[in-house]
Amino acid sequence: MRSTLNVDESLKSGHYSDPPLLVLASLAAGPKHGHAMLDDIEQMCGTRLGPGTLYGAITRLEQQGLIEALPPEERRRPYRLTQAGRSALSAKMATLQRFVTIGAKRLAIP
Amino acid sequence: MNRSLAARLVLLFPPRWRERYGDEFEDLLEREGADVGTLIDVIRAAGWQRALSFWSNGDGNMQTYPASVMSLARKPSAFLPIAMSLCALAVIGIVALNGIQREPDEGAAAHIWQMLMAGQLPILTFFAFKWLARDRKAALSVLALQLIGFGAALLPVWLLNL
Repeated sequence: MRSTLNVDESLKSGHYSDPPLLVLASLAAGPKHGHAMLDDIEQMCGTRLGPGTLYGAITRLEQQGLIEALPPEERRRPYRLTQAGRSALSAKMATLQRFVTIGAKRLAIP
Repeated sequence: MNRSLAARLVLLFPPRWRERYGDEFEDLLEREGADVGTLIDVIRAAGWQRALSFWSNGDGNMQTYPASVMSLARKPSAFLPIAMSLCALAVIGIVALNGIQREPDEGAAAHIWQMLMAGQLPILTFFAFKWLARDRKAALSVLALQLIGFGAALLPVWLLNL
């Protein structure tokens, strides 16, 4: 659940925030635990997700079978993409690619 | 964030969620700052997980509230009483639009309304017996909708003194 205020803020700042997609994109580079995902996502798109938001997305993605947990390393538990997660991410990326291409053309961005 | 605060924040989440994610989440909180934004984010996430947990079945599978209620609402014994209440309400609407005429006999509209209302009761009873035991929370939600519909069809009769 995101408020209109957050949408407005993210539009103004140019940040992109779709937690499940960001988690999938982060895990596409290899297995990561929560803290590494937060750092990676921040580096990728400038958005630092809150820990609650991150684990909300992880919970949902794991229930949907898009990611899976690996054995814990001390108290940290890494996650990795499943095959279904990779397919879902590819499909979403293809849609976003079309969206970006059309949007950039309309804004005359080379 | 200090360990004590992290542990307290984890306690806001439902037990089943804590069993699965509690340790790793607490570890993550300890690595994150304790600013207001983080606290609000965690409290909001805990509230959301509590809501999901409240509406989940007891079989260990997290099932979201809308999915559970919506799947149950598709059963004939769930939607028929609501549809009958809407029909009964439509009958009252038609009578009200055409002007209320007092007749010695109650008239066709009154009989149709009575059949629609009385006909719901066995279906409501069947629904309650069948589903309250299997999925109490979802069944209670659907029953609440059915009773609201029943009340909505009953109220104009009382208000208009039909």
